[in-house]
Amino acid sequence: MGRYILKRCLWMIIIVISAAIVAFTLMYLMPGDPARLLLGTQATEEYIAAKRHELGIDLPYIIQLKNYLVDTFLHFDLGTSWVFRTPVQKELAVRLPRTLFIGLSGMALNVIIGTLLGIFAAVHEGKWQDSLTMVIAMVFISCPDFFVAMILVLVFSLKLGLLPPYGIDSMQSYILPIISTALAGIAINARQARSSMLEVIRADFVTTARAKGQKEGVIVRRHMFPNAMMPIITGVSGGLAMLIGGSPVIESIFSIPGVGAYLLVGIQQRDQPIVRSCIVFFAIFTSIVMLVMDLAYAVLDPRIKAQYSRKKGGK
Amino acid sequence: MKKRLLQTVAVTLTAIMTLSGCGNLTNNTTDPAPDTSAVEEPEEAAENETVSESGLYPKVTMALQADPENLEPSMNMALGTSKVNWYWNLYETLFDYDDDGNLVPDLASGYEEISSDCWRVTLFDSIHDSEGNPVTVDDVMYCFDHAFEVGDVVSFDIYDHIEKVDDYTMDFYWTSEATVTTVEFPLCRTQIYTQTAYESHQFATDPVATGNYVVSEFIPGSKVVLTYDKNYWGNDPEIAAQRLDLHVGNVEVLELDVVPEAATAAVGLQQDTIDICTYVQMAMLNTFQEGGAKADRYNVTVEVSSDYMMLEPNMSSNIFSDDLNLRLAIFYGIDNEAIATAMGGSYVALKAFGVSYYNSYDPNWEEEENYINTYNKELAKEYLDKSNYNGETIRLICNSAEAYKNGATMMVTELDDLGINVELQAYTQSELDTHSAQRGDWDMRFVGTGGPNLISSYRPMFKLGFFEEGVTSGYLSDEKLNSLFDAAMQTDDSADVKQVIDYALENGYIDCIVGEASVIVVTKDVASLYKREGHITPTACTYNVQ
Repeated sequence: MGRYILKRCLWMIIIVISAAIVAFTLMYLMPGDPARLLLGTQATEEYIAAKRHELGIDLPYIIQLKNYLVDTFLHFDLGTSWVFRTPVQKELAVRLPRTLFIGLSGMALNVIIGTLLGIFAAVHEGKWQDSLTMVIAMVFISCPDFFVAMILVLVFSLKLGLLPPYGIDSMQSYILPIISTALAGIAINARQARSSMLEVIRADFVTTARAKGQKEGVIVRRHMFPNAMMPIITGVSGGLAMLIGGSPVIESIFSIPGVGAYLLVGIQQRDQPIVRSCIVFFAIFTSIVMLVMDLAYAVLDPRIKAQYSRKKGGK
Repeated sequence: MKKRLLQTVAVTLTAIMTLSGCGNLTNNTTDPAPDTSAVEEPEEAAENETVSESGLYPKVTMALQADPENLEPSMNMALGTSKVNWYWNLYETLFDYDDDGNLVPDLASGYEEISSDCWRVTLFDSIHDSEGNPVTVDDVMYCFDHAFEVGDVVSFDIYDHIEKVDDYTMDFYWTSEATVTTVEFPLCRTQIYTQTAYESHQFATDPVATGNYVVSEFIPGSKVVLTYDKNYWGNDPEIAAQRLDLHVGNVEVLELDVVPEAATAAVGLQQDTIDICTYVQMAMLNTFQEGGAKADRYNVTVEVSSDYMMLEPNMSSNIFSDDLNLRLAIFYGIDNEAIATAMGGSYVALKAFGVSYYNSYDPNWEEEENYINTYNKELAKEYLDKSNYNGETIRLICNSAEAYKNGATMMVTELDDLGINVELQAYTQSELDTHSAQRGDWDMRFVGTGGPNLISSYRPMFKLGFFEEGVTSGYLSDEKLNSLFDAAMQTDDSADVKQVIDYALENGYIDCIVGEASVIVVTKDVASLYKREGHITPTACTYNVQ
């Protein structure tokens, strides 16, 4: 297992550097002149040329790439934002907790409520509880998250006056963004969990357990649920990887200064340090999440763990 | 099973309630200067408490549609950004303009015209920034050098250099004869701060300047909080009497909340968390107008702002360069009302060259029939028949923001109806600027303009040397137009401006399409609004205090 983890870590380095090169190249090739955008339409060519030199974007591609890779991976310097004029690292350090908090809380709701609903629907397969749960899930899957966000603001902020409609002044400010983020995921997880549970419900070992007189609750918890978890974990790992990007839409509606909003400004303003740094960060985070999920598979499924061990010295 | 399910639900609900009740994931500033963390959040003024201990209105919250991004000194704030309502509370300039366009003291007490290309400017000798650093001529020269260094010197062609006479007196040398209007950017837009403060602070998040307010909190993407500086140098009654009321602070705390969505801002108004908003959409106004649910708390004002949109042909393009008939066909074939409707939000159709926001705009111009205020398809077809147009595709470029794209799409539809083939290419602002500067990339462009006065708003279209030497932004090279423009720039007089307009209309150089209406929803605690160049300045408004 140790060798497996080490091998994955080495691959991670290659993946992250490759992602950095792709990100750099894409930003380099993107149309639009960052210097002209920063200085405005009335700037003369002389000043635009000076600004390009200041930003280092008048150098040949390969020199710019070399400087970028050396700064990022050897000096751990993500650069200074051209728009915000502050170090990107510092800004990410401040914004990331907000995005992660919304994302992780939303993910927790996804998993807990979505899984419970899925199990509830699967256990009552064919009955009205199953139908109602799946209809509600379909409704929330169909509604775009910005639409859900506006409805929540209308109800909870405007009509009921319970929660603030924007900002980060208090913990209450995070409730509506978290719910907006979570709702579609709950619906998807509920359907996924229901589907996984239904596959397992019909398995021979479940029939055997029932035949042995085991309680239904114990059967669900000890036999059905662990076997149904694998697809759910796959869905969660994908969701977690997307978490780090935040939702620019949700952050915009609720005025949350998170990573999503930061990246959006970077893209709109051609702020290359922001975009490149965010992509490198996403690559690192995604690689770590995938590794953790693979290890989680091994923990949950002894068959997978045995495969890793077999590769080491077994048959 | 049921018991376990109930237990799980109970734990989840408890977690949610705990989430809503506690925690500290809030106002982390990017650069926590000591003052920021030490300042207490000012309390919300209760209904019957409208006076702070200092006698000022306690707190005003204003919604900002765009994130200020950074607090560096920038002349770009003059070009219409989210900073335009409050940046002059932070940074001051050498002079201000009054409503008649005269220079009035700000940091400078006055000027003397030594010669046509040299003005002697004198500073007040008691200026200091919020940390007590005195401002002298050396600091002014430093600020100009820095502005040139970062390339932030739009429209600085009149400026040559500064020579120091003494600590509070300097000579400004101009490249040509200077007038009150031509010195706008050097004297009224260049923000002044001390070299000492700039070198010891990161101004992007922690600026220190001479304004009557200091930044007590800044969260990029979320809010800026300005607190009144009790030690403001400009409080001296003798100095204050010479300056605009802009520099009088009537509010203890100004909080600027970044709320990009107009709908969310409207909710904030209805929740009484926002006191001033300048971008509520027309469709949402009825709540705040007479008879509406919040009419007792707010007043609503609708005004045309300084910015407007124009349709500019590329005069270097083979299609337009010698074809006045084609240009007139296009201009008469476009319905400004339809375009304003298509753009939605708060746009109004223009009826003359410019907008009524400006002092030199004469409403009588709207009565003169021309292609700006006339939509006539038959006349358009007549001009088209006389033109040399053979069905070529005309490339129209515009900003890809929804409103502009909708307006441009409506134009394409109307011109298609006439038989004029137009291809729309929408770009982000960065790309649009890049393409605009390449004469071969477009045939027409739908873009905005504006300025501190009407004649300045014509600068890109009529002044030679915009993108390239000898041509305007539309690659037009017309010396007579340039002369008329220069003459009007000296005076900003309606009659002189009219000559420029008449000449442009006669030659079909530009079409003016829509202007932006500014909708201001403001709390009734405001006794009277104060505006600088049409933009409401919350700190200088007067408030109902007990």
